[in-house]
Amino acid sequence: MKSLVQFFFKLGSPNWFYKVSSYLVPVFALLSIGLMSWGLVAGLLYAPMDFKQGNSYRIIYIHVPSSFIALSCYYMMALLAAVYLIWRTKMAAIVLRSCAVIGAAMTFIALVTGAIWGKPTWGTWWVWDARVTSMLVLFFIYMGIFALSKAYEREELGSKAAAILALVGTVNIPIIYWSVDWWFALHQGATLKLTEKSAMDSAMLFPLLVMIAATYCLYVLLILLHSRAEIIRSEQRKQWVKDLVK
Amino acid sequence: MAMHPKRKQRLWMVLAIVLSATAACGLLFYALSDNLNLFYPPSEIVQGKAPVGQRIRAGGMVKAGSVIRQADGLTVEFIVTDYEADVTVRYTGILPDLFAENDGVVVAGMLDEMGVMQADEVLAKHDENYMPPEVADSLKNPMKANKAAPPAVPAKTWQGK
Amino acid sequence: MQFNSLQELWFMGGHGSYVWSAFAITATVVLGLVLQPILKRRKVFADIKQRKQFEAQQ
Repeated sequence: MKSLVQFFFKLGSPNWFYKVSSYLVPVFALLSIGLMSWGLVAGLLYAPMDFKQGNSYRIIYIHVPSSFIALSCYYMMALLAAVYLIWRTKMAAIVLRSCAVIGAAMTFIALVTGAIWGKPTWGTWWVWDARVTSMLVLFFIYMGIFALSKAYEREELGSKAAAILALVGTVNIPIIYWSVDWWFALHQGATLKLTEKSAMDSAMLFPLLVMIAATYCLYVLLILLHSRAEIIRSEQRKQWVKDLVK
Repeated sequence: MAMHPKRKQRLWMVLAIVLSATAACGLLFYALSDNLNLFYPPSEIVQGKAPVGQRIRAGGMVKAGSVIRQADGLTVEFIVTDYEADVTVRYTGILPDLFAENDGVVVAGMLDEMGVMQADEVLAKHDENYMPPEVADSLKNPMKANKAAPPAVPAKTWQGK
Repeated sequence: MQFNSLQELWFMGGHGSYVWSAFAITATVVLGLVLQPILKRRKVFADIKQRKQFEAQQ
């Protein structure tokens, strides 16, 4: 227990985070490149086509993983927001800002690939149903958090405002998650289920699971890269950062 | 673990923000809940719950054997069902590729006095089941069924609630 | 392998334009996400170096 507390205490130090993450970056870069090439080859070349949708369903191999990250990133960000508001840990604000950028990009990918997939399957690019609309709201919340974090001259004020918006925006997460169950929507239900057998043939499911694992590795890599850059930017007047430059 | 009083106060603040935001949105969505449905199921339309003379959407399954194509080749008539009630739909235009009998569909248009939906838009509502064509064939044809375990048969996936 | 030739893979039974444009947009966004922090860090380091040289001159 004591060592765990110490670990979190150390995590809060930008200097320590920067040094430890420099070992993790190559690990996660290799993992995500490897898994992603495997998943892409399996999904695009080897997975059989769908009996109804033909080949257009292959968009699932980026649509579902990016949607997963768009939501996971928000859980992490909301947690960091609470940590920042209670303990004022500087590192929490730094990672929170990274999460806002990455989350916004992932939500953008989910929305765009969904629109492209919608055209051949539904017959329309866009529909204002509960799932699609709540995802669009998520995108705007991410953008708002990012904008707020940059909106104040004093960085702590911006971080505080962004953290509060991140907490308020948490309400949207269960809405996205259950929108297709609560209301009549055009979007179909979940393909991957934790409790039941998934509704996808195993030959098509396997590349999807690989792509999800790959995207999670990419997500960790992006968090590390963005947080490291943000640490260097905000600590550039500190001696330990100056010492990094020869 | 003992917490600094100031931090304890901030923790309460965090909880208050989350709870009040949840309560506000909960009430808002409760008040709006009917408007958040993309479409009406046929049984609600038959019961007169859908407005007449206003653009609405209806969603359900295309009833097997109900699709009639008119001589012009573009106008099509079919029945949308939720297995409780049926609504006849008339539509002129190009149908989406995935439009098929026994598959989900969402149509937009106006109800006329006869209770027929004069649609100007037809969207295919697909379900969450994915399988290769061979597996789908073997499901339709149990004689040819291979050893592969059949995936779940598409349920009434048009049902939102 | 599901496709017999490169043309078939590109065409994907008529869905090629959808599938490939979705993957291309995703690749562009991901590439931007990876490059942005790398360039940002490089720029800050360059600034620090410049400041150091300026201080050394004085």
